[in-house]
Amino acid sequence: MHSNRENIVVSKHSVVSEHYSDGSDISSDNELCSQVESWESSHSSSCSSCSDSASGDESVVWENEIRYDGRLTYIESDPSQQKRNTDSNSVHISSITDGFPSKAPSSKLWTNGGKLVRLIRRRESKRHYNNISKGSNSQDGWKQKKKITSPQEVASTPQEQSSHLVELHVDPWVKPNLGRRATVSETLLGLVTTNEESAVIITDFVPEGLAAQQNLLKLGDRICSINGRDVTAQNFNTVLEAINVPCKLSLSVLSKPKTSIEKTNIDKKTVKIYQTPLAERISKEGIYSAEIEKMLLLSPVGVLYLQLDGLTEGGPEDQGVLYCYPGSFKSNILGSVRGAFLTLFQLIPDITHSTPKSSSILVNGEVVHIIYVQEGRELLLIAVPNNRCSIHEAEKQCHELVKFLQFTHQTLSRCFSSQDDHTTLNHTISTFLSRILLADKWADISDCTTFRNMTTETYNTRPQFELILQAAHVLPLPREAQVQIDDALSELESNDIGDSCEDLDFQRLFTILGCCVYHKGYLLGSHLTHLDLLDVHAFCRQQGLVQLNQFESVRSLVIWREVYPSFLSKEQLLARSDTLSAYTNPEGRWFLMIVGQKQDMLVTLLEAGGCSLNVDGHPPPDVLYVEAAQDTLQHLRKIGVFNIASEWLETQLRPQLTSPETVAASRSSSRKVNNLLGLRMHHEHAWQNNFSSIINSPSTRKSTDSLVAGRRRQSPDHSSSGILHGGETSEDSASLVASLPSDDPVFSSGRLRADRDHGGTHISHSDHDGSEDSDSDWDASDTHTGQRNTSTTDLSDLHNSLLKNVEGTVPLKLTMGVENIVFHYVHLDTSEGVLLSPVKSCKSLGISDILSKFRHSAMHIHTLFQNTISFKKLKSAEASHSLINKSLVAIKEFGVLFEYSLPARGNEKSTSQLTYWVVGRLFFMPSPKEVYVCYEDSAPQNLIELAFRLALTTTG
Amino acid sequence: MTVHVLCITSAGGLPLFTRKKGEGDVLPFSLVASLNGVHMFCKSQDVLLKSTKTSDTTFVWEEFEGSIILVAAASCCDEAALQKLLNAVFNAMLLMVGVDEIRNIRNPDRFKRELRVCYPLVDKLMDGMDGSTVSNTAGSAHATGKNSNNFSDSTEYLCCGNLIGLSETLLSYESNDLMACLDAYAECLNSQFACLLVYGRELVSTPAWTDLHPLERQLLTLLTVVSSPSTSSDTPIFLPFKSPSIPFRLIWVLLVPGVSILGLCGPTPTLSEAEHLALQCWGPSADHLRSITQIAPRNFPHSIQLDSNVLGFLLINTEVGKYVLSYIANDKPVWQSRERTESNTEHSNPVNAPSSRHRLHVLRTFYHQAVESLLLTADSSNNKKEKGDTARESSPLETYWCSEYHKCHGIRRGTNVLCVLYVSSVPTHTMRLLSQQTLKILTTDKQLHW
Repeated sequence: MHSNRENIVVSKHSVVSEHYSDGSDISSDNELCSQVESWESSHSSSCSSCSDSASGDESVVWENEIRYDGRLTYIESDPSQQKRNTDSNSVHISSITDGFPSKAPSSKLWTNGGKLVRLIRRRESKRHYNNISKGSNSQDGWKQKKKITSPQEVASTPQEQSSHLVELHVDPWVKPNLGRRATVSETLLGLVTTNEESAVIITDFVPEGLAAQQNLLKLGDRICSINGRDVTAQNFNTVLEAINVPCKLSLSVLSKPKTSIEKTNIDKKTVKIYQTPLAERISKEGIYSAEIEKMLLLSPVGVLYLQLDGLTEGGPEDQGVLYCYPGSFKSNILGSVRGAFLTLFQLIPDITHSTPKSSSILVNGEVVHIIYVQEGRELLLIAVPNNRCSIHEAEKQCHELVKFLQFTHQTLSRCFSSQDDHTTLNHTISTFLSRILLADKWADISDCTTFRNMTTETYNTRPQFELILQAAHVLPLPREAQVQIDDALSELESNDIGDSCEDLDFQRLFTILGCCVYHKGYLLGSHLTHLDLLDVHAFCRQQGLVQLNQFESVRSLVIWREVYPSFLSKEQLLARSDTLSAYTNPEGRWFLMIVGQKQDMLVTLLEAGGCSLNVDGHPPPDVLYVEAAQDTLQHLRKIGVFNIASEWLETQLRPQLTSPETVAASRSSSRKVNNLLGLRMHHEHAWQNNFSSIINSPSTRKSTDSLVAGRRRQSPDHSSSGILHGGETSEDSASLVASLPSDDPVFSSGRLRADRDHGGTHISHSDHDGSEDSDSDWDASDTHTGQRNTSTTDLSDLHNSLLKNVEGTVPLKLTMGVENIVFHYVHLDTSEGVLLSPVKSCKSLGISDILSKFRHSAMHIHTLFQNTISFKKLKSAEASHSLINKSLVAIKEFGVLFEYSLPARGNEKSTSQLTYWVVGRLFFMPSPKEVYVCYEDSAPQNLIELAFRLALTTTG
Repeated sequence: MTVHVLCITSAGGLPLFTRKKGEGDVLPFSLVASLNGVHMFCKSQDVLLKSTKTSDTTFVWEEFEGSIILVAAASCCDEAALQKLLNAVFNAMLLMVGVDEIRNIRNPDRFKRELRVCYPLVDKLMDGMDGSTVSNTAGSAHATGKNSNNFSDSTEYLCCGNLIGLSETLLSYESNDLMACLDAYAECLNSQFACLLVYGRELVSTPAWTDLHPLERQLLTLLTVVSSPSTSSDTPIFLPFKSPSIPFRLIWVLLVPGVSILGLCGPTPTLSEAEHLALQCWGPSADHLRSITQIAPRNFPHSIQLDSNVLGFLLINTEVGKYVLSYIANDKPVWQSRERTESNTEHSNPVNAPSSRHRLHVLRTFYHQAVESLLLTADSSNNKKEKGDTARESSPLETYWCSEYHKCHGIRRGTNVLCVLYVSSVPTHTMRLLSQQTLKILTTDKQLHW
C-alpha cells in the first residue's frame, strides 16, 4: 500500500510513457508476465480465433449492454463448447492441454500490448457513463428497439439439412475497423467462423457487419462453397483473401435442421449474442415476461408486498398493496385473501408474543404455504405450493430470496416500492417462482402448454436437500491446486490493477474486499468472509448463475451490480450498541462483479469509498477490473487448476462412494463380517470395552495394512472418554489394541477445524507411491507427519504433477469395515457457509431411490437440530422461559434405518434386502457443523470419526 | 407450554367453549372472534385456512360437519399433532352429545350447556399434548380425587401416556384367568362390549371391544378416569364411529381400588343390577384383582427383567391401536419402594438418568417427533390405501436419537413398534441389540397376550 501511494505521488505529473515503464517493472516481478514477454518476442502470426475475439472484443460488446444505472448482465454462451458438452460430458485432458498454447497468447495480449487500448477504452467508458448519468435514457430506449424480435420468417425452414445459395456484395476496399487481429472473414463477410472437422461453421456475426445486415445467414450454418469453389477449413482464408475487387459472392450454405438452440438464435438474431435458453433467461430481463406471468398464474404461487399501517375501512380495493406478482392483485391468489394474513399477522402476537412465520391454506384441493417476512411496518407474503416444497423447505427458499433482495436493494422496502424497477423485480421474482415450480428446467419452459404438461406429470421437482441449505458447495481440490487458487485470488486482491497504467487518478476506484472462484457450479476457493460468501452465493443461486455455471459453458460473462452486503446492517447494529467500536466500515458503496469464462466464474466484491475513490451516480463496470478478473481466470486455467477440478469432478476419487448394486455384489462374493455378534459379545462384558477389534476382519489384507480404530466411548459428560487406537493388524489378525491417553478436545469436533490447517502437512501429495503406504490415508497421516511436500513451484510442471497425483491418490474410505459402504454424505459448515457433498453419485438404478430418502430424512433431521441450535444460542435466563420442547434441546445425533429391496437378478428368485442408515450429527465446538451420512448397515460407524475424515478431505 | 382449544359455531360464529391448559390467560372473546373471522373470510374466498406457525406456536383451524369450527393453538406442537387433537376433541363432543345435535344446532345456548359434560374429556386430551411440561395441578385435579384414599401419589398412576388415537393397555400374566370372568360378566350384561381397566388402562377386553375404533376405546377409558369419584356410574354415550346417532349406556363399576369394569349396554340392566352382577362375577377374584394393581406404574410384570440401561419403553401395536408405556422399567417394584419412602423413584435411578416424569416426556416427544413421522407414516395413513403396501415397505425400520442426557431408539417389526429410552452412556450400536432383545421379550411371550 505504501509503495503504491509513493508511486502515485511520483508519477502524478510524470509523462505517461514513464509511468508505463514503471508499471511494467512492477508487474515483471511476477512470473506470469516474464513469461508473457518471452512469448511476445516470439509471437508473430495471426492469433485471431474464436476465443480471441471473446477476450479481445468483448469489452466493447458488453459495454453496450450496460444499463442506465450502471448495472450489467452480459452472458454470451459458447456454441462450440455447448456442442462438446452434449457430445460427451467428460472433458479430455489432452484436448485442453493442446489448447493452451493458443490460449496463452490471448491472455498475454492485454497484460502488455493492450495497455494503451485499455486506457482508451477506459476513457471511453467514462465518457459513456457521463453521457448516461446526464439523465438521458437514450441507451435504454435504443436497447428496447433492438429487442423487438424479428418476424419469424424462418418458420418455413426445412426440417432436413438443406443447402441454399446466399448472395453477398462484398467490397474488400471498404474495411470495417475491426482491428488488426480480425480475420479476413470477419472483415470481409462480417462472419465469425470456426472450424469443425474441416467444415466452416458460422458462430457469430460482426455487429453491423455485412452478413448481419443482410440477415440471410444463421448461426450454425456451414459454408460449403464460395462462387462454386468448395470451401474447407484449410482453404477458407485463402479463398477469401483472393477476393480483391468488389464483387458478388454466392455462398452455398448448409443449414442445420432447426434445433432448440437454433430457435433461440432466431430470436436472438437482432441482439447478435449467442445465448442458450438459460443464459437468455438470466440476462434478458423482461424476455417472455408476459408468457411467464401467464404461466405462473396457472400455479398457486404469488408474491405480495403490503403495508401494515394506514389502512382505512373504505379505501380502494388494492389499498396497501405495494407490489404484486404474478398478475394484477385480483388474479393473484394472495390478492383476495391478503386481509386474512394481515389480520393474522397483527392478531397472533397478542396471543403468543411471536409473529407468524408461515400459514398453510387449501386452494382448489392443493395445499399452499404462505411465508411471512416482515420489514419495518411492511409485510412480504410469498405463496408456494406444498407439492413442490414442504413448509420447512419453503421457508428456507423464501429466506434466500429475501437475502438476495436485501443484498441487491438494501431493504425490501426499497426493493418493492421503487416504481421504475419493476421489470427487474418481476424478472427476479418470476425466476424464483419458476425455479420452485420447475427446478432445473425452469429456463426451458416459456409457454403455457408445455408448462401445464410439466406440472401435471408427477415430475420430481422436490428441491434437493443440498441445494436448499444456505451454503456453497465446495469442491475440495488437492493441496497444490488450493494454494494456486489462493495465490491467484490474493494477487487479484492485491489490486495492482489500478496503478499499473493509472496516470490520472491517484486513488483506486475500488478496493477488492474478497473474491471467490466457482467451477461448474462448485466453489473452488473463497476469500470472502462468511457473511459475504452467503450473500454472494444467494445472489448466484437466485440469478441462476450457479446452474448456468454448472451445465453450460459461456464464452463470456460479465455481471456488475451495486450491492448492499449484509455485514453492513450488522455493523450498524453493533455501532449503535457501543459507539467505541474499534473498526467501523467506511461510508462507501459496494459492487459485485462476476466474470465468467467457459464453466468458470470469478465473483469479486468491490468497495468504493474508504481508502478508494468515492463514487457518485451509477458507475458502470470498470474495464480494468473486469479484465483483471478475466485474466485471473485465464491464469487459473492456464496453470491447469480448472482441468484438475474437472478431472476431480469426473473421477470423484475421494471419499469414495458406493452403490447398492456393488454392495450387493460384494456381499454375495465375500464373507460378511458379523458385527452384530461381535457387539453382543462385548456388550455382555461391559460397554466400556473397546470395539475396535470388531472392525478388524480376518480377511486377506496384507500385514502392512493398518487400521486406526479411534473410538470414543459415548459418555454423558464427555470427560472420561478415551481414544482407542487400533494398531497394526498382523497376518493372523491378532489385533493389538493400545489405549492412548485421552485428549478429548483434540479428537472431537474441535479437531475438525484444526485439521484444515494442519491436515495438509499430514497427507502429502508427492509421489509416495512406495509400497509402505498402500491402502490407508490414515497410515499416511501417521508416518508422514511433518513431511511437508516440497513440490516444485514451476507452473508448467504443476499441471502435470497434479494430474499425476490425481491418478496416484488413494481413495479415502469414510467408513469403518472392510468394504466401502457410503452412499452419500453432506457436511454442512454453517459458520463458513460451505458444504461438502459428493459432486455426483454413482451411476446406478437404486441410488436415486436411496437418495430421495436420504434427502427427505436429512431435511427432517436438520429441522430437528434447529431446536438444539436455537436453544444453545439462548441465554440461560431466557432458556427457562422459552417455549422449546425441553426434550429436544440436547439432541446431537439422529439416525433412521431404511430398507431397500434390490431388484432380483436373473436366476435369483428372492429379492435381497439391503438396509441403510441415514444419520445426522450435530457438532458445536468450535463452530456449529452438521454432518449427514447415508451408508449401508453392515458395520457400525462412529459419526464423530466419520465427520473428522470428511473434514479432512478439504485439506486436499 | 400452553394449549388452547376453541369451539365456535360455523353459522353464527358463536363461541361454544374455550379450554386452556398451561400458563397464560384464557383467550378473550375478541381474539376468539378474530381467529374465527379469519377462517370465515378465507372460506368466503374459496380458500381454506389450515394452519399458521410462529417460531414457537402453531394454530390449526378445522371445520367439522359443516357446523362447528375448532381452533387449536399450542406451543411446541406440530401441525399434524394438533390436527389429531382437534379430531379427538370433536369425537369427544360427539361421544357425549351425538352427531345430530352437532349437525343441527338449534339452540346454541342450550347446546353450549350440553357441551359442558365433555370439558373434562377435552381437558384430558389436551393434557396429552405435551405430557410433563403442562402443569398438572389444575389440569388433573378432578382425577386425583378418585383413588386418593389409597395412594397419595395416584396422579402418578393416572398420568397415562395419553397418545391420541391409541388405547393404553398393560401387560400381565393374569389375563387368561380374568378373561373368563369378563366373558361371564358381559353375558350377564347382555352386551358384547366389556373391558377390565386397571388405573385407566385396559387389561382384558372382549373381542367386540377390541374391534372398536382405537379412538373410541381411548375416549371411553378416559371418560372413566375423568369422571367424578364414585364407585359406579351410568353414562349415556354415542360411539363416534360405530353408532354416532344411537346412544348406548356406559356402565362403569369399581371392583377394587384401581380396578374397574366397563360395559356398553342397551336399556337393561339398570345400574344397581349391573353393580350386583359385577359383585357376583368378580367377587371370588377380588384378591387376584388387588394384586394386579401392583403392576400399575410399571405396566408390565415384575418378573420380566429388562437390561439395566433401559429406562423406559413404549410398545405400540399399530394394527390394534394399543400401546404399553413404562417409564420406570428398571425401578424397584412399587410395593418394595413404597414401604421405605413415599416417593423414591428418583433414588433408584441410575446416575444422570432423567426423572420419571421427564422420561415420560422424552418418550412421548420421541414418539411424536421421530417415530410417528417416520415409522408410522405408512400405517397411520388409512385413507391412502392405494399406496399402503409400497409406503410400508419404504418407511423406515429403525430410528434413534442421541441427546446429551439420554438416548432413544425406535424399532418396527411387523405391526409392532417399540421405542426404548436408554441412559446416555449406552453405546449407540448396542441400542439396536437391546431393543431387539426387549421387543422379543415383550411380544413373543404367549402368556403376556400382546
